[in-house]
Amino acid sequence: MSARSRSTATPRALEPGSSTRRFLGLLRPVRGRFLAVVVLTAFGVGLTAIGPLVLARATDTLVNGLLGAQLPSGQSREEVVAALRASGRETLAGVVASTDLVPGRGIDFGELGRLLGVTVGIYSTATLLQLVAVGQTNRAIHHVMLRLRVRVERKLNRTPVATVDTYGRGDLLSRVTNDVDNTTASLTQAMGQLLTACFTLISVLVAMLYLSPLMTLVTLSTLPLAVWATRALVRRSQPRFVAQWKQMGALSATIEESISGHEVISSFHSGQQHVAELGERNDRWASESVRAQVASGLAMPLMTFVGNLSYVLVCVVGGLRVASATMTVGEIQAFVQYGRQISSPIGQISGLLNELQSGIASTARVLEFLDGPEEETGVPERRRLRGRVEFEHVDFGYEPGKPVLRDLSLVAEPGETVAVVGPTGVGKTTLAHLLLRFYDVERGRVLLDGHDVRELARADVRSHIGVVLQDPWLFEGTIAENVSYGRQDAHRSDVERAASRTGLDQFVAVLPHGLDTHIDADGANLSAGERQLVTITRAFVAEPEVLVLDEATSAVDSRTTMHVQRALAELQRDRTCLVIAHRLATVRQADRILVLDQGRVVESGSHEELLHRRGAYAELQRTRLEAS
Amino acid sequence: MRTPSPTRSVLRPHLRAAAWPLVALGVLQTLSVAGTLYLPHLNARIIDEGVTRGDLDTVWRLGSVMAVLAVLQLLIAGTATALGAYISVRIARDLRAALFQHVMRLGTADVRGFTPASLITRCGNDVVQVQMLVLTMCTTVLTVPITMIGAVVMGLREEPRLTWLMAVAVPALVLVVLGFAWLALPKYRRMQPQIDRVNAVLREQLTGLRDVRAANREDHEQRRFEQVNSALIDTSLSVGRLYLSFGPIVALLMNLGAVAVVWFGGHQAAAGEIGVGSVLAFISYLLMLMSAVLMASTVVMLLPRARVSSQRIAEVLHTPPESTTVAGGTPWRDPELGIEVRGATVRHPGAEQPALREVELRVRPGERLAVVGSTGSGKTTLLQAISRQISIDSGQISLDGTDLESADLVDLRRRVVLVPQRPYLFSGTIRSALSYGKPDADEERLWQALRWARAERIVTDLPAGLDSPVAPGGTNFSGGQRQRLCLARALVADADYYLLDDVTSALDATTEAEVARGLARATADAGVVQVTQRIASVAEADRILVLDRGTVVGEGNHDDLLGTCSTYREFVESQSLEETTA
Repeated sequence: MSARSRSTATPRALEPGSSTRRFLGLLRPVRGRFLAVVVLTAFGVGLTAIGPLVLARATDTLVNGLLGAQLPSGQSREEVVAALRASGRETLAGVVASTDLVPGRGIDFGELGRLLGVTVGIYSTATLLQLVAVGQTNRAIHHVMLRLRVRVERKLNRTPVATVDTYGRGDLLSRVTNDVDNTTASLTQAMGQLLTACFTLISVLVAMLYLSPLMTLVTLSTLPLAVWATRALVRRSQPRFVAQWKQMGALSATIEESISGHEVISSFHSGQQHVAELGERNDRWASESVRAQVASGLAMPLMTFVGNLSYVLVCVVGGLRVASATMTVGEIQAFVQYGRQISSPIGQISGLLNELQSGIASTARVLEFLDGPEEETGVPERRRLRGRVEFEHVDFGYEPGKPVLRDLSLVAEPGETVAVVGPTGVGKTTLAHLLLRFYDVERGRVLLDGHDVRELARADVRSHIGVVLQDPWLFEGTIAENVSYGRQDAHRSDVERAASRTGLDQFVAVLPHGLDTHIDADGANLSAGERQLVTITRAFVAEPEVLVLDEATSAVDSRTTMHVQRALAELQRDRTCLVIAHRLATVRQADRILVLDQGRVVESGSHEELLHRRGAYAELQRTRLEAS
Repeated sequence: MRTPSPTRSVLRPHLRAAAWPLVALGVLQTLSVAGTLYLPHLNARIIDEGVTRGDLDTVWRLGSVMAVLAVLQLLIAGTATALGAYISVRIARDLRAALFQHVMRLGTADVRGFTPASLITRCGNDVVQVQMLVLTMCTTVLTVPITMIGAVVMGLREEPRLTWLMAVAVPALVLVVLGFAWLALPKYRRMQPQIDRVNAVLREQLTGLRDVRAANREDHEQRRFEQVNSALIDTSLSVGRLYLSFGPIVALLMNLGAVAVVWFGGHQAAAGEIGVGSVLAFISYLLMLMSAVLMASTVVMLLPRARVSSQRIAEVLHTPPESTTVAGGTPWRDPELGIEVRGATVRHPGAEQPALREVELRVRPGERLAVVGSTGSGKTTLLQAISRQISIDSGQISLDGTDLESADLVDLRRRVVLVPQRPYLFSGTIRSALSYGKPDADEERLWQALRWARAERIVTDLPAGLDSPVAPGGTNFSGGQRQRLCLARALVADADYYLLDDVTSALDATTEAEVARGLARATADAGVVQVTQRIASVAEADRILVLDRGTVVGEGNHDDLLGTCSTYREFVESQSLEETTA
């Protein structure tokens, strides 16, 4: 049950190609919204691209007005050009000829105002469209995030106990928080900025093609270089991101484990050891992280370089073409600008690819967990069981080759109390694990009212079995909430009745808020005995047909135990009860006692019978009496 | 905003440590920006000196200069990127290490106060937020001042009479940016605790996995999770809306700025004050300036979250650690005095009744004191007070005549080892788990401790023996096995005093009796305070202390107490009752 036996991770989720597909697949449920965002963004970007054209016409109006004011009024434009040519002012003549100014007329502020108004309108509309798109993106992403988290949570509740045991708690925690967060952050980027960048790229390309297909080709000649470089970088950085998030998981596991064990650390004043361990993990994370970020961060300067290169090409080729009189200076200038404009979205896209890779690596870790094995689900059938429990020639081990139970058979008839005793570590708790189907047997069968538990839904099996486990588990909330946990429809009166039967009421009476006293995380403000008392009361509320008590009273002091014993005796009446115990006093009244050793039942019978037999049980009893 | 900013106070030492790389980064970024600004200039020269004059040689010459410049720029920007990544990761690493180190030195009460789940988030997610801020600062922000200065200087040179537009546009943009930050801050302040809660629920569910399954309450857990999760999602939805609207709105402002330049510039041009070329040039400089502000704003958007995160980090860092080191070691006075508790009173925060009231006790080397009392009578609190895991509100606790408050904690914990009620093992191997308190312990010592704690069989039954793996928390061992391994771990440490908090509760009576015998041998010269539920262990003690609701109601040996202490009598009777009736 090592925490590090996870090397057999599903390779499917770790393959970059399929991870990318599945990463984008997360958007499938919101494809309607996504489509809306695509359309809105397209229009928004389109309008943004038109804006400068209108603004340019406003500038032209300005230029025309200024020029026109300097020219004599009453003449037509052609006459003015001719006059200018005649006086040798060739350049000015050319400029005037290319405009549609009216000589003698100054700046037409009405026209200018109109054009600027249109510009403002266009920009405002574009912004509005983008804001709507952004709102939709946000909603869509959060829908995806909500779904992903809920899926992970549902998965957590269905993953077999054995599988959860193999993940570190901290690593799992990191997957469902850090990795889910990172996945969503990347999706937001992909849906938002990436789309905008792509559309900007497209709109610029359209404008360029319109101006000159040949120069467009020249500008784009560096594109293969860009694609090649991006691919090379992605290939290099993807495994780095996978490693980085894996190290993050290991780092979280170390932090989680150390902080959870703070009590022990404090006892030995051994914080430095953990600091050293963290330091090591932290260093490993840092080196993977730097590598990942360098490899992917290089995309941006590389794209700038490619952009600059195409800029140089445009200048040179353009210069040559102007010299051969196949192109005008104005056209080069336009291409130079477009070249600039095009390198900005390309740079942006490559920067976003960086984010995406990190997101894809995280997605893979989330998916690896989601792809894992699952317990079947089923709705518990609300029927009354008699509560006969049988183990039939059961073999079981947590790890292959290390059997814990060997050919074990036992029967608990309805209403019977069967106690299992034996030295610590012979597999008594394993019986509870198998009955509750946390694990399944290797050979043999576990039967509940004659049905193989493997053929019943887990929820069904568990709905009939109440259990008090060795390590009492409490959640943050009131004592009453913790008690009523045993049954979904438990009322306050059920809780109070149960509390008075176990003696919990006496203990809570001295607390400031009684049953409504708040319990800290891990029940840290209660003593071990108090915690056990709460979990026992919880089992009372549940009123199951079969009750499993796994060392239920180990930490309760003997005076309290007396109460609890009395209460347990009442609880055991009319229901099948499996008592796993090491304190012989607590099992004496059992109908049958089974002595377990080396994973087998070595003796069985009532207290008196077993004492008479002078076997293993009598020996246990004898050492115990000697001890006291 | 208040000063000093938590972000700055958290980051300052780390930024200072990275001073040289940061300077180098600044130089590289400046060169890179200069390169970007120089390329258009070359382009203008190609056209003016080459194309318009039909001079193809100049076109080729300047073209190759541009190409070389582009390569240089790639190298510089690439190095800058790598350096930026290195700096930000290193700062995150150091910050996390410092934070974690501090957490490891916090007292038990503080850890409980912060809650483990929150501390875990602070060491993880909160550090990442600060790292994101540093990374953005390194990659984009450094270029901002350079670009801004460049734009303002060029603008001034071009047309001083239009600079008032810059003076209006830039503050307006800054105001918008600050407004966004101001709106975002409370949301982020809500968000981080919500992340805590999601983590706390998840952690609880992972810890109680078996109990949840056994109780068939998966649906309930799912709902509980959805509740905390949807609160978080709501907050991040509104943060997201804010964050994503920012770009389009700022872009709109920039474009409106351009429109304003044309309109006002037009009027000034009409009045003959400035030329059209100036107006056009001015637009480009204004846009350049505003895009620099926009770039800086990415950091401004990251700031609120990083600020909340740094506040949470600073909160931990500013909580005083429990460790006090005493120069030259603790001046222990008389080793015969042992542990003395005088009038110790402990009140848990928020509790109405004190957990301990005027407790007196004394344990000398070689002595064994048993502490009995019902559930909730303050036994665990007493042990925690003696090992100074919690501090007492009044009274005094001393070891060898030295007040614990003035003892070096390293010395104290080396001499006094507390074995907590809840057996917890750290992951690794059995060897590493056992030598935890004394890393230099030899193998013989480990086996000796295992024999004393009756844990030898646990190890010999495993194929890899001492090198068998231990899962986090020790969950791959049963409760009884874990208790014995924890006891062995404490015995390896070879302390002068042992505080045992009901450490054999999960053992069967036979094993418990064996452990008691082994313990007696192992701790023959040591002082032992043992909290216990079992009459068997009590009888072996030199003296017995009876606690009831935090007060000592009896002290003495078994026979004395039977006569004088009714609580003790009840305790004994309940045990024998248990024997006969159970």
